[in-house]
Amino acid sequence: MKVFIIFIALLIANVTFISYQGDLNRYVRLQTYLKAVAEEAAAGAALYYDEVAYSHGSMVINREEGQKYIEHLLTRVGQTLDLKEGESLNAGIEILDDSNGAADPGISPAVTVTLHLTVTDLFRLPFLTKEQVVRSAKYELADY
Amino acid sequence: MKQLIVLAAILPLMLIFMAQFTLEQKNSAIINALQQQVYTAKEEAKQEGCFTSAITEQLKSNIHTKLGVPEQDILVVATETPQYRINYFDPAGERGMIHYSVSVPIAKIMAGGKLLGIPSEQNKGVYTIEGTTASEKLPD
Repeated sequence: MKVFIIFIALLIANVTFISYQGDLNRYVRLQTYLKAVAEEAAAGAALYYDEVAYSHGSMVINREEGQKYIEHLLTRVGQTLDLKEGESLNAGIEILDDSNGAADPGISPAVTVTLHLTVTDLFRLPFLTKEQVVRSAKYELADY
Repeated sequence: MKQLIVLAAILPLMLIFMAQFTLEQKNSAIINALQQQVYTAKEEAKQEGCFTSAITEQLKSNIHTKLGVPEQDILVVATETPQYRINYFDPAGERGMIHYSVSVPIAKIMAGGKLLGIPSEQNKGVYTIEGTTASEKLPD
């Protein structure tokens, strides 16, 4: 009986450890992936600019086109992550350009994207809970 | 004697966990390295307007060197015609966009597959990274 109890204890410890390791690796990969997506979203949104304002010497990011691009990106990422009902991926966008403060010397136009991923628990172990992953990236147009 | 028999029965089961731990670390390292290599290739493709044959070959070569995966087993499906930077978003995702998908086989998923009765054909998988990026290349 003693041997059996020790065996069960070792089995539970091992299963717990393997489960934790797998979930943690997945969590780390998810963070890396979302960071890359946030960078992609910020860099992509910063590509679209107001041509009329630019002809007057101002760099103004085209918010409407940038928003469309980020929404397209989020839709694709949602499909890749296979988000279930109740899970969501949202983006917060902050744009700094010549229309709202970047006209001052030393400040570059920039787009900051913050992704909020809400999922059902990433860890299968009952005593660990992680339901939100937040990653942010900033793309700066340094030469303007 | 009883203890020895119990140990002989339990030890292989316990060793599978150790082997699985090592295998998980290895597969995770492979996937992380793959993510880095694809990210680098994607950044280069943004500047070139597409996945040129040079970028694709370099990507395959890097994956082969770092992960030990034979180049013929690496599948790269990506935009190969130059896309140029445009100042509006194309809802169809065709103009100004570079699409890519990189697949690499994972040789072994479960340690001790034979002992657990998992055939080697089922004990493998393919890891795919796919995405879309906006081209930064300006027309010449």
